[in-house]
Amino acid sequence: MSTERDSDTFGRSFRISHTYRSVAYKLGLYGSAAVLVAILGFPIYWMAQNAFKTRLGIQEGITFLPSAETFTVEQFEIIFNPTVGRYLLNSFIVTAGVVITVIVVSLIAGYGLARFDYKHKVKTARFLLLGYMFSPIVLAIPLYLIWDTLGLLNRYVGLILALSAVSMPFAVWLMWKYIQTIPESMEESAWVAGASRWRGFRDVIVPQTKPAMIANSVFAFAIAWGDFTFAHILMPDNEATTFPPGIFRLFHSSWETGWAEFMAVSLLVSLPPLLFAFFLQSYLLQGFKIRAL
Amino acid sequence: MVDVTIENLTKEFGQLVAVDDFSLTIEDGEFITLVGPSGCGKTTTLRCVAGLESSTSGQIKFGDHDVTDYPVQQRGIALLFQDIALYPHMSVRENMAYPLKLEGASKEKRNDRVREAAEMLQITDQLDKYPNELSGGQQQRVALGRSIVRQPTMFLFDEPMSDLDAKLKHELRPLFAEVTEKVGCPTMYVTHDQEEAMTMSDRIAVMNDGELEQVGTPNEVYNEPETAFVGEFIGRPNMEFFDASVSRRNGSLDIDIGDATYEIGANQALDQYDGGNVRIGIRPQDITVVEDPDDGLTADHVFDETLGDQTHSQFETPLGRITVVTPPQFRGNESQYGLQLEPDYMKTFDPDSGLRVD
Repeated sequence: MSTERDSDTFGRSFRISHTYRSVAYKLGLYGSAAVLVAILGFPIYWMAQNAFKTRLGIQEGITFLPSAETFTVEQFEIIFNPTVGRYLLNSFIVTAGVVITVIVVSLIAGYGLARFDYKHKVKTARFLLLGYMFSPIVLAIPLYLIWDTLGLLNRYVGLILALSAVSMPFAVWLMWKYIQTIPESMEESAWVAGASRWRGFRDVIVPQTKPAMIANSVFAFAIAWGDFTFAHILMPDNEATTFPPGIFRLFHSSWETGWAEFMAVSLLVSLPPLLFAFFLQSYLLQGFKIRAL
Repeated sequence: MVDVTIENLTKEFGQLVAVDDFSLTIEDGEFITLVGPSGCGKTTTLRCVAGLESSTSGQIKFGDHDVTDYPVQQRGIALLFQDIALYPHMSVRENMAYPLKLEGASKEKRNDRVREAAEMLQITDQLDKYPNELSGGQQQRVALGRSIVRQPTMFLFDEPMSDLDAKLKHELRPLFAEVTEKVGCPTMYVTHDQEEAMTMSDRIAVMNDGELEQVGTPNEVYNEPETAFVGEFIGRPNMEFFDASVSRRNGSLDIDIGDATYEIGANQALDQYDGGNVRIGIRPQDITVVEDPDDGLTADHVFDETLGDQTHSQFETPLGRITVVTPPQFRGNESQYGLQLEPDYMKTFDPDSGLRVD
């Protein structure tokens, strides 16, 4: 029997052998992966499997897969419901608007912060981050009053502005730091060759910020597509609102809409962010390869 | 093509005077190197000439044309940067064609010029690669190619080789010289490396602390330094300096360095220092080691650096530690020697201003 602390003449102790270490490491790795998959994956699985059940199949009780009798795809017909279609269209328009606005504004603001010096530059940039101290609901109610006065309620541009503002501090900050890593001599060599500042920005800076642009667009997409609070408050009309508050209102309305339809439409709505992130991920990595010069 | 004239150029950053009243003319086709320690204002001077920095006062002229207020885009210069500054998202071909593209040149013309330049620089097989696939030397060739696809009015180099290893420097030096000669415009090359300055230039301009110390051919600045700074900065190993006193004997002047006395004959320029002090500079190559410790300056040998074709030997003397260039076989073995300075090669400097006085 060895004591708890074996040590050699130099006082070094050998308590865990390499074999046990690697077993413990693997257990930890796969164990934590399993927990994550379960937590993140289970709701999606639950939504997906219920989307393919008949209404009766859901009401029958908890089953983990649709059976032969309860399997159906007819729930997906809800997509042809004009109201739901309208919500989806609104979601697409608002999200596209937010992504474009965030990319354009963050490029310009990030370039300005990175390349021009003015008084209290860093302080103003820090001030931007203050926006993250407030929860959406705190911001949305005053915005409602302001948008009401400006006549921006129920209009795409109103919601696009609000959601862009929410994404902007992070996006600007990221772009600022990213442009700082591009040597100024690259732009200067373009100027020497005869390029104006704008042309140098367009030809030399913008193409190199691709990874940051993609990171920003994924971030902006996630904020805009998933937003509930701002859309619910700033788009009070049923016609104007986006999908998340739309489906919420549908659920609360007296319509004959059941769980099965919700699951089907929710599943469909989860696909665009998934595809968006999936395809941009490979571009993101390509972009980082370029920067590695 | 035209001369480039810099007149009384001064550049201040707030309180700091980076370049102080700098005047220099670079003749057409001439290769001038601006050399000095880091922070001496040489890069600022280059950036003012390029138009990347606006000057506080002074004039820059290309021929008779005053370009002081022209932005960099309108000066038509070529500039090679220290960090090479190739565009990582463009292929070598696109990088080299970029200045032509800005000019609005046709596709055929662009391709022709790029091919011409690539042939001169021996990078024709690299044209479709991206900069991060090239070695440092190849990247520098591409950058050079990008700057010569357009005929520049002036060629500027901002320490383009300081990040490269010694072997590559040797390889690129003749290439730079060859290409600038072919382009044939005035060239200003900025470096802190005196060896680069000596080997490449028609004339060298030595800068220190924002001021121009001396302009001359490599031989002039090496053999006849006008200030102690130039003497020390140009030439390796560094020039050795001794505090010396001047005294008159029988109408001729003597210079006492430590316990050694050198007779230098009548010298009007040094008359005013009679009974006073001067600084004597001498190159380690012009000091001879003799066995007799009482002959000349007494010195204790410290150690030898063997270089193969010569040896750099260090001696401890009452006037400080000095380096002497000795024959390749010389081994000092830490014994005592005498050091003899060649009076003909001694340069005399004013002890306060550092100006040459003999």
